[in-house]
Amino acid sequence: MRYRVPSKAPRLCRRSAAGRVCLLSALFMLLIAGCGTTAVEVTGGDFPTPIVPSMPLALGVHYSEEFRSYRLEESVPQRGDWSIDIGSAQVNMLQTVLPAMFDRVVEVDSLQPETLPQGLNAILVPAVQEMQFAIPFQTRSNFFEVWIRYEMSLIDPRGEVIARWPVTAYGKTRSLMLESAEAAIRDASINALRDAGAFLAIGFSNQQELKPWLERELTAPEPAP
Amino acid sequence: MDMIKTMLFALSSSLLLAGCVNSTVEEVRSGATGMRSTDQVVVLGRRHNNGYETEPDFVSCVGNHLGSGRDSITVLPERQFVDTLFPFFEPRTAPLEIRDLPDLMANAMVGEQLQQQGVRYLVWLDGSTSTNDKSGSMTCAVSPTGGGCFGFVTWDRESTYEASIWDLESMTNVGKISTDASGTSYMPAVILPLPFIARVQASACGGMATQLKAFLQAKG
Repeated sequence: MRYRVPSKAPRLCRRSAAGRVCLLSALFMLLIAGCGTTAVEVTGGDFPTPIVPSMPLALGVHYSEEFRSYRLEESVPQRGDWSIDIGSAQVNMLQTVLPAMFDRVVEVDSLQPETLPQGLNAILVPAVQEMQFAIPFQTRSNFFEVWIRYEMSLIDPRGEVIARWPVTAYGKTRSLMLESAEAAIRDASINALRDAGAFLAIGFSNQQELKPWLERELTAPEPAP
Repeated sequence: MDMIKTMLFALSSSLLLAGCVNSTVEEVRSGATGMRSTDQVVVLGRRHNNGYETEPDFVSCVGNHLGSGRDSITVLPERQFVDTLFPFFEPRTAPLEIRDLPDLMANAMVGEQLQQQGVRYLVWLDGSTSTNDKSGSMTCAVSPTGGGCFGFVTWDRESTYEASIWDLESMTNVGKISTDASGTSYMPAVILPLPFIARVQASACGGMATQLKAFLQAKG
């Protein structure tokens, strides 16, 4: 004897012509969902510690709220809106790179001279000046690309600007058949942040704007703790 | 007996489904090589060019071939090497010419890391695989009663790679190996598409790795 077990699925989606229509509609909905906002959150990023000699200096770092939560929002014609959040990843990159470059690194919440810890040689304030990205649809290439231009400001503990200099970064990643655009942009952003870290670690002591200050600080007696 | 028949069928099917590939490998030697049991090799991809980059899967394919089979060589994974020597082997900072190497090795921290890891040879792979000359067309349709594809598509793929082998002991470029591979893939479809794929990159990888293994282990 054969029993027919009643389906628990909604009546429209049962195995029938109507069911197939239901499936096709669901597929269509998924397709048009791709025309909305593509949100990419670049979190973590396993950045390596640079092998550079540590400078005998105490550096304060001030990450502004804007820097910590930096997000690029842009619309690409025929490819919808994009939102790329690199805030936490770029803080993570600097938290890995800077302690290898200086003997002491302290994060400071404010730039007010009276609130700063004693003994700092200077305070670094990173800021994103511009960020751009490109997808294969725009460039007719196989690559997702990300460009970031930072402006680094070095401020002395009295609040006077010692130097400002640009750090440019570029990262790309190949478009793969089974990889989503979100994952590709995330990888390209991490490559760009790695590039910024490499440029900062190698270029800091050679930066023309910083040379007079570095010569002064590295030859001066250590500040009182 | 059934097992053998199944295996023969699978083998003939895979041969049938693979397109043909033409490949050539050339070698230019400019210095002596040889591997001690403690020597390690790193295979790195060039990624500084604007229009292309050496594919990470090609780099790992060559590394895996070198590190397996008879006379295998100890190969350090690319990522591990680049991370350990950060920031000196990033796309923008890596030495491009052999004449850049002495300056890099003069950096005590870099020299110490390379010595610690026992790296003797750096193999730089430069090149890429591209798809050219796509032709034909295929139409696929899905309806409530079923679906299928109809048509014929063909495309050519070409791989061109060059390996430069740097000896970190003598700080010289001891040779170059280049490989070119090309092949045509087909995909006819009558209801179901049936791909006949020419494994161009895999062929270039195999040719390059076999030649590299012999090159590094040869004396003289």
